[in-house]
Amino acid sequence: MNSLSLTDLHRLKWLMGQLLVLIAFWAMLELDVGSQPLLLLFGFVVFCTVLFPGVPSRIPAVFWKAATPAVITIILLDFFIHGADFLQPLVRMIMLLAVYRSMQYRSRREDLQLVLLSLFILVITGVMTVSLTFGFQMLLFTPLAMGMLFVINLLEASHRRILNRSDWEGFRWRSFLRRLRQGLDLRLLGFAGVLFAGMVTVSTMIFLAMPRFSIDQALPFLQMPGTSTTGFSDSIRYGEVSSLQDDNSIALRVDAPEGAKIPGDPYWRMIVLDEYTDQGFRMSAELKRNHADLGEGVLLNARYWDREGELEPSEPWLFYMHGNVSQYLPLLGPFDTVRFQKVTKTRAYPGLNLLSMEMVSANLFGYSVSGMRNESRLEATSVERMALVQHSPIPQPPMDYENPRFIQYPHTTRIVPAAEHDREYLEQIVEEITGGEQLDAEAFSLKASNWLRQNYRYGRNVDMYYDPMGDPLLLWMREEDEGWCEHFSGAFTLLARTAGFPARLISGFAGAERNDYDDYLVIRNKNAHAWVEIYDLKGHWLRVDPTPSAGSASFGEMAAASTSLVVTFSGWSAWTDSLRMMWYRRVVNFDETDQAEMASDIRSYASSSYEEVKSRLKGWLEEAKAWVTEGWNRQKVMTLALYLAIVCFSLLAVRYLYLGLREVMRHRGSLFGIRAGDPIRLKAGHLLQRFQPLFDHAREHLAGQERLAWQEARLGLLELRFGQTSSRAHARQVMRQARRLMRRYKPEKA
Amino acid sequence: MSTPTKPIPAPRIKETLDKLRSNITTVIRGKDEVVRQVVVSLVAGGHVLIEDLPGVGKTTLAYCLARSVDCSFSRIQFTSDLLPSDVIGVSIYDEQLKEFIFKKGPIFSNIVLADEINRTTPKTQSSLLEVMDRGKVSVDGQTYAVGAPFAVFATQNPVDYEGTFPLPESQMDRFLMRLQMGYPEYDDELEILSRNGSRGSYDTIDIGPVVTKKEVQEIQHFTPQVFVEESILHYILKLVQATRTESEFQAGVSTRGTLALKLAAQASALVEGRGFVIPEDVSSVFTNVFTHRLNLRRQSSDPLEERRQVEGILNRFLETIPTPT
Repeated sequence: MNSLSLTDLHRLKWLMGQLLVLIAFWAMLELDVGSQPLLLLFGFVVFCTVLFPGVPSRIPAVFWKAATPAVITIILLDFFIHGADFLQPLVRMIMLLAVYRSMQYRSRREDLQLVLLSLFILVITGVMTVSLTFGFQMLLFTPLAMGMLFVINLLEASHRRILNRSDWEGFRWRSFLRRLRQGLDLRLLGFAGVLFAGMVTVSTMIFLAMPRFSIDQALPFLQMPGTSTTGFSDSIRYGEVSSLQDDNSIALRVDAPEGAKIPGDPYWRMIVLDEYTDQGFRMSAELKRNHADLGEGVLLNARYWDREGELEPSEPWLFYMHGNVSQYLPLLGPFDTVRFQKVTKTRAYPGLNLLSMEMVSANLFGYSVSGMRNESRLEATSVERMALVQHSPIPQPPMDYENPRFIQYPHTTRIVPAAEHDREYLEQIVEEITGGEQLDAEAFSLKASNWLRQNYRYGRNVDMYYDPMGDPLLLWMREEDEGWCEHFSGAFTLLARTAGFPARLISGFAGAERNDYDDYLVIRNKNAHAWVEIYDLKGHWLRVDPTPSAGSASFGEMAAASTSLVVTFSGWSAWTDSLRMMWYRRVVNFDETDQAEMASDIRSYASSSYEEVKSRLKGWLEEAKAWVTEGWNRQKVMTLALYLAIVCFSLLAVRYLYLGLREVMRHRGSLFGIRAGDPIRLKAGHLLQRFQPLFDHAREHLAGQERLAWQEARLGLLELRFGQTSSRAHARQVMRQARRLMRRYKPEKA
Repeated sequence: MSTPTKPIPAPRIKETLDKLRSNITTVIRGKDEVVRQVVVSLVAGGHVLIEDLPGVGKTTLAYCLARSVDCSFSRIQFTSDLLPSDVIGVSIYDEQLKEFIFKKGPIFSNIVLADEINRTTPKTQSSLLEVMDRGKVSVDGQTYAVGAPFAVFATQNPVDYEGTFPLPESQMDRFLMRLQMGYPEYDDELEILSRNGSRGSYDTIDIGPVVTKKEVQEIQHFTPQVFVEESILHYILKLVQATRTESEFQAGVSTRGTLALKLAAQASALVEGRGFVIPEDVSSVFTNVFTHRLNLRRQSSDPLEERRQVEGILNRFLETIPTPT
């Protein structure tokens, strides 16, 4: 057995089908719908059948008898119970069907079902995840599926059959692969590969050049429910930002406009935490409520925030934020306009230069910002200027549930701990920092940061504990000598407030990686950071980052300020990431308005043409009515008769032409390349193919009248297939009789 | 399609031919397939070349067929000094009538057994050409019809090749089929032994006619009318073309061979009692119709071996070329 046999081709066909299912499952693995364990189990089962292809033959036939109704019942039940979120039962259904089909040896029909099913899975998941892996999977899937269809075609022409147990006896992967290799002409295969690559290239170019709809947005059931896993929320409990720093996954990609100066120390502001509580810093409820502008749309213009826009509109910054990162949108600083890819509900904080979505996006979310400036000094709003002229800190008021009294926003940046001894402790440190001098904000920031860096170092080994009685931040200041950004920034904020400078904590991302292959910035979850903005009492908020860099483990090192926060992202992963970016730039682009326009055009065209057709039909009806009801005369009758005659004549002519053509086709076998299949011959031929194996069996096992019936049925079929057309009077009866025999015949019993 | 013809009374024909076959098989034991092929050949009105060792029943087969059909039978033993006139007949001068009269030779019979046809000279062999093709003999400008039905059963010894004149291809082409008898099975031979141990010559064979000459002629008349569906024609052509493209053959099958295959398939359908040809009809006669029309490019010294090889290739065609479905 050194050459490829027909059985080998059948095996190959089957194995290719299994691989298609595996690819489809792989694609589905990226789809976060919560059926992962089931999917892994199913994938493992299918994988086992690839390793041991004889396994399905060992499943007893009685199992399959029960399996079909069981599968249907399971699917129906699943839909009945979990019908509300349509997607999950749908995914489970196609998963189950794919496994069901891949656990048996398949006929042609079943093979085609499997291919379609896998394709469906792949396309649906691809549309929903919009990931680069999808492209890769499609590239794997397509040639495999084409090859499989080719083999199916080859085999079905002459050797239609279904594999059985004996076909896998003595099956060895090694010798199978060797035979396969010998059977293949590598040059032809290489040529096919080159052709395929060319086709992929061309279609990629067409694909890139083509504008598109985002299908997942068009079909509501494809939208995945969002589950916020990571995140920046509007309060900070110690450790939340820090836990993100272990996560190396990418949170944000930024396409800077051509010629824009990418800052060496980009701080992507997301949230302002103004209020100090003994549980940490948070965005005060009052700030959230009273200082936010709610809006909905695709465009947000900062000019409405009483701010001067740029005279010449510049190229925008494009942001691609991953799903579930945050509802707050990272921004470098003040901006002119923000454009969203789709209509989005937003919550903007004009005074704080913050922007948030109403809901965290589960999918990749794109937005463009134009006129964005990166400044370490932010101008304070008039409200802040007016409110923050008093230079004294405000002790945190005690919680009074009976009579809640809120400190309003700009004043919240002055709150210091409530406890007397805590405040004294802070004042003592301020005294130590300033040496009793009256410093301005910049000098104080420098000295305070230095003091912090001298007394604490960067480290992540601190246990997270909360003091039920006291303040965890002050406890950290007193007890520990290492901490991270939240501690440093928190401590700095308190010190600044004690010294009489209003200050607020900012959280977001700091730093970025510049992709070496394609000019854009990558910001990872580990770039999550917290820093401080201190008010200089002259109308500006100054950015201060008191945290020593992670590398400087020793005390007193001034690392963060001197080195650039932008590092280079290079290597293999950078390259694949640049491909992904290319994909995003094309797929997650900003032409929603065009497409919406097009859709509305189509809709209006459709409705207007519908109206037109309707009115025209109505007009005709009216005319016909008038024609019938108006008087009849000889000429009218004659005209009518003439028209009727013409209609009848043309009908007859068409029929005559049709019959003539049919006759010609029957004579020639084909006409204009269309094969003239005599339908009865074709039908009888198909039936005969299914009939023959049973007949062979029946001839050996039956006798007498029964056997005679089989022989008669076969002769009848043969006559229909190969006999003269005059012998067709009983075609239907013959076929029915043959089918009845086949239905009733049970080879096992006989 | 074709011009409407009288419907073929297929069941009646089958009945008749079944009678004929069973009658022959009472004498020729265990050779049902050969008998069937011979009957097919008779129905097609073709000639048969039987190639086998002496004494396996070639003559008996031809004799039984002739007797069963109520036909005249003559046997010509071909030798190297046999002349055409010994086969066809000769014009001799009749003293009393004062003219040449034609004395018919042994060829004027319904079934002619040409024994060891390759032993005679090409001259004599070629005298059979016309009669095999047209069923007529021309002597001195006169044309005489031989018996109807007319069938030549030629035999050849494939082993003993000393002093023989192998039949030229043109002559080979005129045989519809080449058959071989083969040895009988053990049980069959046992029966032959026990039943007819004392038989001296085939004249003593107890076999009577079951079919009349007229019936055979009628059946032969129906044979070309058996319906052949288009896909079957394509199938035949594909088989023929395979022989023409096969590199191991010196040359492919001629158009005469193609027609012969079709005719044989039609006859086979009639034998099975059908008025139309199915793929099995073609494949059942395919090897026998084609083996003697094909020669290997690398000729083997052993004719038996060569025949086996040709048959192997032909069987491969049957396996690889898809039958119409």
